[in-house]
Order: sequence, then structure tokens, then C-alpha cells
Amino acid sequence: MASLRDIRRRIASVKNTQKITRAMKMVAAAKLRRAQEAIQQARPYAYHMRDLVNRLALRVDEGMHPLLRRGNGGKVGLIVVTSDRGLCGGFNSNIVNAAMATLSGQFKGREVELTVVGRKGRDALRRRPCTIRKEYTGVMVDSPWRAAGAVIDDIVADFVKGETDAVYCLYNEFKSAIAQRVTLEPLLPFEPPTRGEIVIDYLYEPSAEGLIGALLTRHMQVQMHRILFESAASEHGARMTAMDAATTNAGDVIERLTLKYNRARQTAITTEMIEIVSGAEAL
Amino acid sequence: MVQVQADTLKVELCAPERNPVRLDASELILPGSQGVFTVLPGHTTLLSTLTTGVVQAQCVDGETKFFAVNGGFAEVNQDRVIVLTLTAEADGEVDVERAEAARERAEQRLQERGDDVDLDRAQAALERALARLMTQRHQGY
Repeated sequence: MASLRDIRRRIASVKNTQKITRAMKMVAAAKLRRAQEAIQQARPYAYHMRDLVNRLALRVDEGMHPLLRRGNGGKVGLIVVTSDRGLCGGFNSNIVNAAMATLSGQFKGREVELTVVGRKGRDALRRRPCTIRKEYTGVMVDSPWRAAGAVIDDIVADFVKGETDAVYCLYNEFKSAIAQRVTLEPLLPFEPPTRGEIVIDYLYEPSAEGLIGALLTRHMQVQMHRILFESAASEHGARMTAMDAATTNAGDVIERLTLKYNRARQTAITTEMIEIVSGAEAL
Repeated sequence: MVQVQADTLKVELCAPERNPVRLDASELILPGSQGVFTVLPGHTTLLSTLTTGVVQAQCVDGETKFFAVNGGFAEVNQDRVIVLTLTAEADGEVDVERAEAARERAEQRLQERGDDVDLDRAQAALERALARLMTQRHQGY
């Protein structure tokens, strides 16, 4: 049986852990608030951009720009977005598991070019039977906008050259502070909406060719930027929930240990008293 | 096909780092990359790139609003105007001191024309600063 001192030490240790998890929860909550604001502002812009590109794709030929190319079942580019830091519950493992599931499910039999964002995903996927072509870490540290550009540049270049025929992105979509949804979002090729809209061709300024190129490139960067923000907000939400649970669990452990400690203390006192009494009787 | 002619433009101005601005305008002036142009209700469908400059909106409530924008796109489609720019600052949101400082720095760089000065970047910085200052002074084109 554990001695009194051992139990006391364990209680102290768990209390320290609880302090850390509580502090991490507070930090995550503060960061979440900022990240949530950022994603809520980034979304309307990104969604409008997507709608605009879709309306445009409805009006122009696929020959107008290499990004409008319709793929035909060749290689797939898959971007997997994870976080750089751990201690955020199932955030990263959910994504990694989903990535493995799509590789052996939806993309079975197709060659996949894997691009990984985030240290945690990179470390986890390195240990799996798959090859990572490109990896990016620290994307949210400096300038997410430039990082989004860097990630998407290679992806776009591969698609334009015809090395990949489709591009998907796997990331945690931010639902709320306690809910994230693993989302597999198709980025390329563009799927023009089919529902009946009155199609009037635009008046382009400057030329259609110049404008479409600029718009499509910007669109890709904007979507990647939004995805990085979705993932960041989800990460903070997941960490907050995980650390809240950890703090509660530590409280339970402390309670159990305290009970055990008090019992042991009482037993020790009783034993001692019996010893004294029987000692006195023997005299 | 008869199209109902509305007399207002539903304008939506979006940038990644701000909440979207919705306006009902009777007239909208945009800094197109081929020159400044005006959109009135009933305008044909148009897709244009924008340059750094000032967006001026004559709102239906009589107010005139100014925004400093930094490149992007504008779509006009059946009296709905969507303006997508990298940054957008309304008059009143502009940090005048910073904009003035940026203008001076850019002007100085352009004058020096040293070897290590990126003239394009300085020119772009100057345009951004000027757009901000114009917005703040409620000065359109």
C-alpha cells in the first residue's frame, strides 16, 4: 500500500498538472475568440469569391485558362491541414485517420500527391505508408496570407502542367467552439453550377483573358487562406475543450487521492493508538 | 424578356479582414484598373479588376460613403454589385498619421531612386497611402 508521503506527493503532482491544463484552457479560449472573429470575417469574402468564379466558369470555355481544365481521372493532389502543436484532443488524429481513409477509399487506385500543412500531421503521416511530397509548418506564425500563397502556388503549377487532374483539401471546418467537422473539399477542377441562371456574358475590363487569370489565381489563394483560418479556429476550439476535460479529470483524480489519503491517515492513527493501548495494558 | 428596373444598387463590399459592408446606393464610383468608372442602376453585367484607390458610394439615404481599397475585383450583375478587395477602410477608420508617414516614406524613396530601392513597391505604397488620405478627406475623383 502506498505510504502517506507517496499519496501526498501524487496529489501535489496532479495539482500542478491541473494548473497547467487550466492555464492552457484560458489561453486557448482567448486565442479562439480572435480566431473565430478572423474566420467569420474571412468567410463572406471567400464565399463571394467562390460564387463569382462559379458564375464566371459558367460563361467561359475551359480553353480560356489552364485552371479551367476539366480533369480526367489522373493523379490527385491532396492537401492535409493539421496544427503545429498538440494537446488538442482528437484534432490532428481525426485528420490523419481521415486522410488514410480517403487514400484507401475514395482515391483507391489513383496516384496521390500529398501536401501536408502543420508539424503534427507531418510527423504522424511520416510514420504511415504514404509519401509526402511537400510540407509546410508554422503557417499561422508569420503571414497566413503569404503562406496560403506558397502552398497553393505549387498545387496550381502541378494542375496547370497537367501533373494532377484534381485537387482536394482535407481540414477541420470550424463549426463552433466545441465542434469541428473534418471536411474533404474539392478545390479543382471547377464545377460550374448547373442550375438555371440567366447567362449574360460579362463585359470584361480589361480583357477576359487577363482578368480570368488574375481572378482564378487570387481565388485559389483566398480559399487556401480561408482553410488555414478554419483550421486555426478549430484547433483552438479543440484545445479548449480538451484542456477543459483534462482540468475536470485532474479534479476527479485529486478528489479520489484525497479520500485515499485521509483513509490511510486515519488507519495509521488507529493503528498507533491500538499499539499504545496494548502497550499500556501489557505493563 | 422584361427585366424589372430597380433604382438602387445592392452593394456588398468584402475584404478578408473586415466584416462585409452592405449598402443601398444610387451611384457607385469604382477605381477600375483601366480607369475610374461609375455604376448606375441598370448597368450591364460587368466584371472588372480594380486598382488601389477610392470607392465612392452615393447611398439612397443621402449619405456619401468613401472606402480606401487595395486592388481586387468588382462584379455587376442585375443591380447587385460585389466588390472584393484585399483591404477596405472606411472614412473614419483610416490611421491618418500612419498614412501620412507612409506617403512621405514612399515619396522619399521615389525621389532618391537608389539602386536598392524597389520602385514598383514604393509606387504601390504611395498609391495606397494616397487612397487612404483621399478617403479620409472625403475626396472622390
